[in-house]
Amino acid sequence: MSFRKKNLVINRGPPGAPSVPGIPSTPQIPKRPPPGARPSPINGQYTTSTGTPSLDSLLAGHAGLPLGCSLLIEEPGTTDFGGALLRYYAAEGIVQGHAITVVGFGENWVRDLPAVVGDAEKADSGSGGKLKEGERMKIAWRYERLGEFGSGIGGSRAQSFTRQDPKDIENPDTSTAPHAFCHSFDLTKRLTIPPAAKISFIPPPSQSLSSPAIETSPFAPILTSLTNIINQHPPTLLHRIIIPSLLSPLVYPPSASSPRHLLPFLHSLRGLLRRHSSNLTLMISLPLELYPRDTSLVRWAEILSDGIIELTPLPQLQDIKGQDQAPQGLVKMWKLPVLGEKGGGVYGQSGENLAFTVTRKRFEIKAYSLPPMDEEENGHNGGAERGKATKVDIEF
Amino acid sequence: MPPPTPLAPYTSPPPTPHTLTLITSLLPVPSTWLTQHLLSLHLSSSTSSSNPPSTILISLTQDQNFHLDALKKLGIQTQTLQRSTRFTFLGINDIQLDLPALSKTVREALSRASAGEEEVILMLESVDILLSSGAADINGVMDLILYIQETATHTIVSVNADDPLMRNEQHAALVVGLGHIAHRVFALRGLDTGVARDVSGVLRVTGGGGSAEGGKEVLYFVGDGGGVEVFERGEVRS
Repeated sequence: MSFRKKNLVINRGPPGAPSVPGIPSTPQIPKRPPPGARPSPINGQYTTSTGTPSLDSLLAGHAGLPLGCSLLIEEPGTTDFGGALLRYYAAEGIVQGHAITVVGFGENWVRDLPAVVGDAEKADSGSGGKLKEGERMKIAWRYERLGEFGSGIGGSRAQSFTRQDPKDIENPDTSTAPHAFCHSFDLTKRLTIPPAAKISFIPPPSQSLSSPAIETSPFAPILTSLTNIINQHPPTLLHRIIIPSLLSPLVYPPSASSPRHLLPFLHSLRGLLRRHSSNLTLMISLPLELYPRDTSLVRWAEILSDGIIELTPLPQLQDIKGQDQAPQGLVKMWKLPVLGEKGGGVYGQSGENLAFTVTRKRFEIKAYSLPPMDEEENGHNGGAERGKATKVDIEF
Repeated sequence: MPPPTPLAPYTSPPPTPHTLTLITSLLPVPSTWLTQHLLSLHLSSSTSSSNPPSTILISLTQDQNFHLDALKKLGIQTQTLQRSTRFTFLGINDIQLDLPALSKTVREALSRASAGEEEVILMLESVDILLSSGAADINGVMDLILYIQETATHTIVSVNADDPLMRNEQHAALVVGLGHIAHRVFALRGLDTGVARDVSGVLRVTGGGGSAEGGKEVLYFVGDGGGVEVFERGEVRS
């Protein structure tokens, strides 16, 4: 991919109209990226980490979530793996000193954020990641960016830039290292939130069922407070907006799921993201249990989002020893930020199935392949195997 | 001259004025690239003639930078364009989801644009969101589009035609209704045979209810940088 011309112009205008090759699609690029942001290898647009390295590397080669973009995480069933992704995203933002706004939930939501344990990049190489330091030297640096991540979807390894920073490597305390792009977190520990953290909460809409409440949009107050918060922050400060469990009946009144309320809300959010495309990002989790993907409501939510991920949990048959790493669910990318908007589907990007695994240490998305035959049999005949074991026990 | 593509015979402006071109897209195969392609053809074809057409681009889902960046890559001098009074762009932040407000804006832009002698091209992107968000009923949207069609020389309208949306009676009626009055319909869809690394989707061009044109089906690919390649099925590509 490195040898392909990035500025390839197809269907140029006539010779009279000089084409302008090589202009990156972002209009203006400040000298230094704001903290926690770095330029995308694809088009130089600034991106920020989602807090999950393997998710970063899936985002159409941008190696992060491009600023001004939104990510919709859909999840059927009653699980809340999407919530885990949102928490990493929030925790990463707090560690980076970004402003955080949580919609529909109070301070409790932030209390459960995972604690930072270090730099995701070094956690990878340190804990026997696929590339050891010595090995890494043998391959050209530009391939290093592409490698390792088995899915081949993103093209770009999340690590690339920060890894080569010698200061980073010398400085073990990565939580304060200025250049770390993505940190690793421990779900079992709680993040201590620095007092200076800029976290705001927007209360959920009132659940009142009286008729005026049905007529007026439950999202109107949310949008007003959000606009106020955005205007209070300096435009140079990166700002993450988090909307957990959108349309969940626990948080939102029934009128929220009316397209005439939800659509204008999502449309305005998209407008806000575009207006503040140099510092705003948004992540929404949407439970699909009540509103499946084939409803026009959810389809519109998807059309108005920049990236769409669906997490489909796999039924966990039983806990089998040695199967800790078994994927907990499948991941589908329905739309990729930036590229998806331009018309390039996810089709061109991936031919492989993706699955996610949540362990204590991380949320990881990787290529999904059926385990080797014998292992699979173990998996399927778990009961039979146990039967055998008991037989042995009996013989003893 | 731009390299000849299989699409070239179908992208030239329709011979008769006051015609409508309809673009339908699906979630995995958005039509933004086609909008930009058609727009760039209109804009660049005008540089040779003395009277470039006035262009109005109204997008209910995209912002100005998105389209201008893409046009820049297609070789359009966007800075000149932005300074020109002949080019009006209204993006997601300039328009509210409100039919009376939109139609007022459209009428103003059209009356400004059609003050001169030159042709007027109006593009309206994702107009169907007006219907789905309850901002307008189908009659309101159709009235607006018919008004635009009558006033502008060429009108290009894009709508989303995903299955879940088409199950909505009003939405289906809008898309089908537009198909009937359209001179030409560009329908985008995914590859029928599954996914491919080097094909983004299928583009089907047919004459709408308003014409007797034959049809054509081509494949296209949108690269990482946003460059688009259009080719025939089975064509050997470099």
